[in-house]
Amino acid sequence: MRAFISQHCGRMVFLVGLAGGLAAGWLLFPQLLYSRQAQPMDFNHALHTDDGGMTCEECHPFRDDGSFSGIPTIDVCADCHSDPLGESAAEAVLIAAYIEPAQEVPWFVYARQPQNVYFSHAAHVRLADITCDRCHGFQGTSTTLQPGETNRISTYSRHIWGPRISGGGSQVWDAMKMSDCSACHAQRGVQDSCLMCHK
Amino acid sequence: MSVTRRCFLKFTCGAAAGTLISPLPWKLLDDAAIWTQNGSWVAQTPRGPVSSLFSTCTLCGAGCGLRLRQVGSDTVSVQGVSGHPVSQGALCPAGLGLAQILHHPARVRGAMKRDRSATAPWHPMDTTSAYAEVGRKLAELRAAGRSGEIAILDLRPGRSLSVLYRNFLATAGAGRYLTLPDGRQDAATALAELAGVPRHAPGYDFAHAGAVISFGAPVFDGWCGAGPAPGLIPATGGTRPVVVQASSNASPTTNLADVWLPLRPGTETALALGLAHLLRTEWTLPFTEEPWPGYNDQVSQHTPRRVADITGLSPALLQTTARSLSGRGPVLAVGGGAPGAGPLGQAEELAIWALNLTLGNLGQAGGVVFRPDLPWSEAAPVPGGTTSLREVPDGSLDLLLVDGSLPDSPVSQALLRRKMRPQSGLIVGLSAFTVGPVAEADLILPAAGPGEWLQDVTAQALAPRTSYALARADAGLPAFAAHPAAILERLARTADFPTPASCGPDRHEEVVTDRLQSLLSQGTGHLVSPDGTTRTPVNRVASLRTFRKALLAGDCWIAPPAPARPVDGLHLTGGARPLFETVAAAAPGRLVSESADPSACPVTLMFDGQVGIAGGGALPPVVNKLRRESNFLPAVDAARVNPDFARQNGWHAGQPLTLTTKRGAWPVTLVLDETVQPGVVLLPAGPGPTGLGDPDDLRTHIIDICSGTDDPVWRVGPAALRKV
Repeated sequence: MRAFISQHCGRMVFLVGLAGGLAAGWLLFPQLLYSRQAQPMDFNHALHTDDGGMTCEECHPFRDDGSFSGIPTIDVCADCHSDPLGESAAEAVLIAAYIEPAQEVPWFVYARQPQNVYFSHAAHVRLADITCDRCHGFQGTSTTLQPGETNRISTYSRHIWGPRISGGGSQVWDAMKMSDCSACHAQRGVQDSCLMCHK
Repeated sequence: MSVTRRCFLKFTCGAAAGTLISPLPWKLLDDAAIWTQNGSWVAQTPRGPVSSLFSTCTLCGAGCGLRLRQVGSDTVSVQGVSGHPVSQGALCPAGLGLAQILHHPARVRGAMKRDRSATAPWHPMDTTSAYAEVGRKLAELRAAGRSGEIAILDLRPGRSLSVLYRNFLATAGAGRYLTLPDGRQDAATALAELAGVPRHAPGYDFAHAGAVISFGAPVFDGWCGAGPAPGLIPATGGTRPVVVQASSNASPTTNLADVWLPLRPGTETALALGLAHLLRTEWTLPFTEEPWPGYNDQVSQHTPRRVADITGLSPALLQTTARSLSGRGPVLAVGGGAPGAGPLGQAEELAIWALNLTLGNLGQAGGVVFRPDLPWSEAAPVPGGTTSLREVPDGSLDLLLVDGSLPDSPVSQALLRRKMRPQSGLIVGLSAFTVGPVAEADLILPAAGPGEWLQDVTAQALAPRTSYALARADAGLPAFAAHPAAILERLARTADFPTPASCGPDRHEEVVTDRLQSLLSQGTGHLVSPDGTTRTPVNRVASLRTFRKALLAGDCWIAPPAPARPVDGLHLTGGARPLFETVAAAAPGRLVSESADPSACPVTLMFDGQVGIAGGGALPPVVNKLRRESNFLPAVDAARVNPDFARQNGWHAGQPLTLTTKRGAWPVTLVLDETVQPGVVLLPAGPGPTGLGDPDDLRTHIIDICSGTDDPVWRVGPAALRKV
């Protein structure tokens, strides 16, 4: 055994180093790269859509001018939650911390694109008939909110790059990089000049 | 087992290899690249509600409609507005970057001064001291009875601010109000000189023309901002007039025209006279024939053969073109030059107007219509008179205030300096940028930029309809800048002028309100929504407040169409003969290839420029990026020549050459372009790609390369090319 170790010592040391490098790159690096940020309160989409029978458009409507309202303001929440609906911890936080003082909930927006990107929900949803889950996955039927993860260097949400550190994920909505936008545009034969998104 | 250096190295190599086949280095590189775009040094727009609103562009006088996308109160993008009654959706590169221009490196963020040289560096100056210095000079000139040496150069006359400029000069004593006509204003002036009768402002009625002969005017791609001439492209289902583009250079307009007449540079006069000759001999169109002394002689002499010799166009092409226009309805001859390529010149404009007179289209639908005037006057006349800068005697001004509201105004800086007293003359810019005419200033007082103060916009010269619009102050006034009227008022107070409030911001607001009230009281015309879908008769607008609110929301007031009635009594006056002598002198052409240097090749220098960036304007980053990355526009030092001409002279693509004019020598790089005529060098008019980052680069004024003399025709000039 000792002879074997002595004979292959150099290779083993190299392999140990290789394994260490791989572990650092694939396992440790992602942990260090992203900071995690808990959502200010939990939210159950499924409770609203399944039990409450609500549609996406009731809280995320298009305005009269065609623009997309995005995340609902606290006024929209207050329409139903002016009085507590249930006794969950999230309900208590919603009433006490946001509805009563009329404060907006500082949600972490998983899909937020960087500022140099212009994205029109109206063009994609209304004109191209793309459904919400094409880009947002099963968010609309989720029962809880995952913590937000922010790239410490680029400051982008991890959802832009994708859950895999190598990029993307197992689902088509897992990543929202420029190459993902271009690929979808190419697939659909839609023009994708620079100024389409970078106005 | 001990750890040897060899073991350590192997471990390190293994770790490095492992890392390289992991995402770590590659993701770090990617994120680091993104980090450079998101660091603390990059301006970030705060998150907030997104909204859209409409306004009017004030970067030039075109008055293009804008759709502003705002996050909170910050404008983050600018687009044209489809269906806009003036711009029809078009917007030039500068307009598209309007939100960025306010953050341009050439932005004036405080009073600045420099030695009496356009190449000297700027030094920051205490604002109070700057006002004191200018105020002291104003007071001294007034006290010495030399207020006639005080002048204001208004780059966009007709605004409410122009009234305040006049008030300032009136309160100074006998100051002079100066303007700088552009090509289209030159054209309108030429008609007044030719016809010799006071008329309403002329406008081209493209919408009803059967055929258009454009003498180099960018009727498809740069007439109104970057858009086509109003009415030239009809709504769906209509037919547009036949367009003949007479131009020495290829352009988007020549590509879209039905016929391109690639005439030799500077031979537009001969072509206009030749077409008038053909009109009388070949066409079946009705035309007006009057015994105009001088002109008729010129027309008779300009047979197709002679015109062909001058212009380089074949007689057959001229005759075919002339015949093809017959029977199509009113024919309109269009002058006015091109914003990016220069004005045509007085002789050319006179010949084109004479052609229109011959066609009998003045006052006719599809010809030249005369717009109703706006219901206000230009306020009290200035004691020192109103004149063009070109007519001011050299060395006669001691203090010139230069309006900086038109950063891309094509004025020769050398011309500006020559009007000043050699030793004591002080040029003061009231400007948001250090570019354009203000680049020649000795001192700059920081003024509000576009979108930072309420401005009004009236119709351009030669526009078919009178219009009026407001440009809202969305961006807010930054702490370092002042409303131009506030600058005037403070200067008047510092110089102890009487009634300084007559040129202050409150008075500006009153003038705007008075104008709105006048339009409302007149009760004619329509309020047209920014997208052109809604037209509300002004006599149905309930109140002044509603009217103002609509204009601030992006609506335009559009006058009724000019009545189409023949112009009786429009005739050539006694001054016509000398005017036609000017035409006769220019008829052989302005071919100006000459060189005193036997080692240099004489060439004719011409420019092509895109509206919005000609004349050294501040280029917004988005345009700069496009320019650099797409070769959409050539670099500023790109001298384009014909490949055959280059071969004859032993030049090759990319070769560095020296371009010389009477103003000096400039290094250029040769670019081969088959659309350029032999013997011609085509330079882009505008700052280069590097001009954005370094304000000093913007000082090279392209127009000074060509002219710098009294000749305002910087469209074409003599030059020489030689090897480095």
